[in-house]
Amino acid sequence: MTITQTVLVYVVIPAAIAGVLALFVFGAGARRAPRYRPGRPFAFAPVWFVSATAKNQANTDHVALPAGEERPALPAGASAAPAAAQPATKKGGARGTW
Amino acid sequence: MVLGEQQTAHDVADTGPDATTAVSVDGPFTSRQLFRIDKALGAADQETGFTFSIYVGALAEPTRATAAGLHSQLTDPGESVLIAISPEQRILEIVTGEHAAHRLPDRACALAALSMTAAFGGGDLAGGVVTGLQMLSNQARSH
Repeated sequence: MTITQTVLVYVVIPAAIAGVLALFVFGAGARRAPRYRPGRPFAFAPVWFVSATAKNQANTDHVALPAGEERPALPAGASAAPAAAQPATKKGGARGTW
Repeated sequence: MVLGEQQTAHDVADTGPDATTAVSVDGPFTSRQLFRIDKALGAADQETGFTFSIYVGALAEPTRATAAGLHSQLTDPGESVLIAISPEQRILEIVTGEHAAHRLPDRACALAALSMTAAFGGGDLAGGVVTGLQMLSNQARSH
């Protein structure tokens, strides 16, 4: 075997195989959408949803704002502040941390 | 979002884009996960007659009062169950309305919360939500 052949067989071919494997491993990860990982910052927009088939659809006039009306913007820092004007009803539930 | 028309997203809790971190315009779920959650929500609503609602985002302190405030904004709070998740703070709040609490006692909610936080701890937000919905729905149905 000439030196060229030796290099081709023992260096270039293994390197090519390793490159293909690396592409499979890291390429798939790069394509994936960002996801939540515990302990990392949660850089997603807040979402709030109900079922599409819920009876809420019958009450859309309550959910949606009337045309032309704007809900006053929340002051900065008062994110989802407790609604003081709402009548206080008895609520149950639970809480958890992780 | 693919299922955009199937969900009612409110930016109630949106504090506006934070200057220091780039906030993604998308929610934390893929469309496949949204589909699973929507199916679980629909099933839970149908089986129990309650309105289940999921909130995922930051909750202002005190988180319990904030979650209760969100719950009060639902169409029929008495018959509604809100699952509020704050992944950044690692806090989960389940809020049940006055009538819903009769069939969903706090102990059942705590059990669902436990299994949800176990999934969240592993980074599986959608899986935890679906599991919690199923557990709450089963509990309410058996009462």
